[in-house]
Amino acid sequence: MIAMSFILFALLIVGWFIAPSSDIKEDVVKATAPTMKLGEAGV
Amino acid sequence: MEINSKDTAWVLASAALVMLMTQALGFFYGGLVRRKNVLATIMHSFFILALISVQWALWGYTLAFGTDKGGIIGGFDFIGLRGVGAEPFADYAPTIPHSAFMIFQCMFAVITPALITGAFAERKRFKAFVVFSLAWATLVYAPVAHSVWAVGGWLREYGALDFAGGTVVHITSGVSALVAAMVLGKRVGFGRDLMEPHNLTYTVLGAGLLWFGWFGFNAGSALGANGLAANAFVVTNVAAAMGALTWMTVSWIRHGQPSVLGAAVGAVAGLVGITPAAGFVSPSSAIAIGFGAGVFCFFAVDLLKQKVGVDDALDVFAVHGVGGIWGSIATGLFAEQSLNSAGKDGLFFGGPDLLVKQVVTVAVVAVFAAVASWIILKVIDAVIGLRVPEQEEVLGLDSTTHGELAYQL
Repeated sequence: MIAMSFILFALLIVGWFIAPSSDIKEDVVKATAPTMKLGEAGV
Repeated sequence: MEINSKDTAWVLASAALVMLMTQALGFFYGGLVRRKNVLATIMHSFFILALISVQWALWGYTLAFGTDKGGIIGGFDFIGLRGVGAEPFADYAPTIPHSAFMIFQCMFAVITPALITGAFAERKRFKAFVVFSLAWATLVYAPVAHSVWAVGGWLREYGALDFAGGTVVHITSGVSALVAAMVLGKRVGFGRDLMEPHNLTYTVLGAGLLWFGWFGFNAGSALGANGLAANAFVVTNVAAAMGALTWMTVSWIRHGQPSVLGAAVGAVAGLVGITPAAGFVSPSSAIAIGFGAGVFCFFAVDLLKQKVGVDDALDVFAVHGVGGIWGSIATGLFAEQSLNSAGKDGLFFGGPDLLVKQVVTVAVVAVFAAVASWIILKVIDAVIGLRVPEQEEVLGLDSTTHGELAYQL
């Protein structure tokens, strides 16, 4: 049972590594910064 | 020895109180950041509760409290909580089930890396935060907890006193936070843009709940419902009150207004200061410790932000690092063996040796935490990157990392 617990947790850790980077959603950006368009935020 | 139901009830309730502290910390920090990062900041504390709870059950607890290996780490006796059940663990808490002691300690392991998150708020990549928290809990927290608290731990054998985590929790997290802030660099616009707290009501709510939970943190560390716990409860309350009053007063004199934020942060500074001393000092000493924490931590914030220019976003080092160092040294000044036979007399009660041991322990733990944290951060930076892209930082982590917003107003 302990080995199984380690395997399950290891699967989660692998999941965190292979999870894609978040896509910035246009609608959420609009709600956050209405005057800003994607690609214009760099300072 | 037989299980004592009153002791067990108190320690389990204390574990729940300490669990609440981590969520209180989420509100405390969440109110201090800008509105575009509040969810991301609260998520740090909430996620760490889940992450370290599993890490602690699988390998964290055994590394901290397993059979001593060389004075610095525990063996694998309790891996996966094997053998941790209803029978007491006589080395530490002979009147409560081993599992009650384990879960109480678990909540300390949870809140410690959560404290660090205030230093890298508003700019750290979530994936990097997850890996850092897991690595830090394993490579920094477990060895220090073992060295200071476990039977056979070399700092415990050396004679250092740390009742509830001044070194194990606050110095490790405070120093690591400073290193993290330096390695990550400043937030975009630091020193140029206004970075005011977006909701101080959250921060005061968080501070109040931290104060509440700290009774479990300190008085629970007596591991029994007894006079030692009652004294720890009283001195905790007194030091928190003095910290709040002192910080607010100094801030009032210096800036001309009695700051609400100053009172809240001052209470936390007082709580940090009394943590290592809670089982060894009297209420009158707690007044001095709370006063010292209020003064030292207040000026540490000013010094770090204005003079040194390190962007420790939510002042983790100034409050937890400086407060923890002060509390540990103050233990060497104010401790009284008459209050706790397991303690020693400090300098003001005829025991200069303890002060030397406290100073050495502070230095050793601070250097270890700094070096280990620096290595962990550099490795993570090389492999997956520590910071979010500048565009995401400007837009805020709530929308860009989590795809959610705190306020739909």
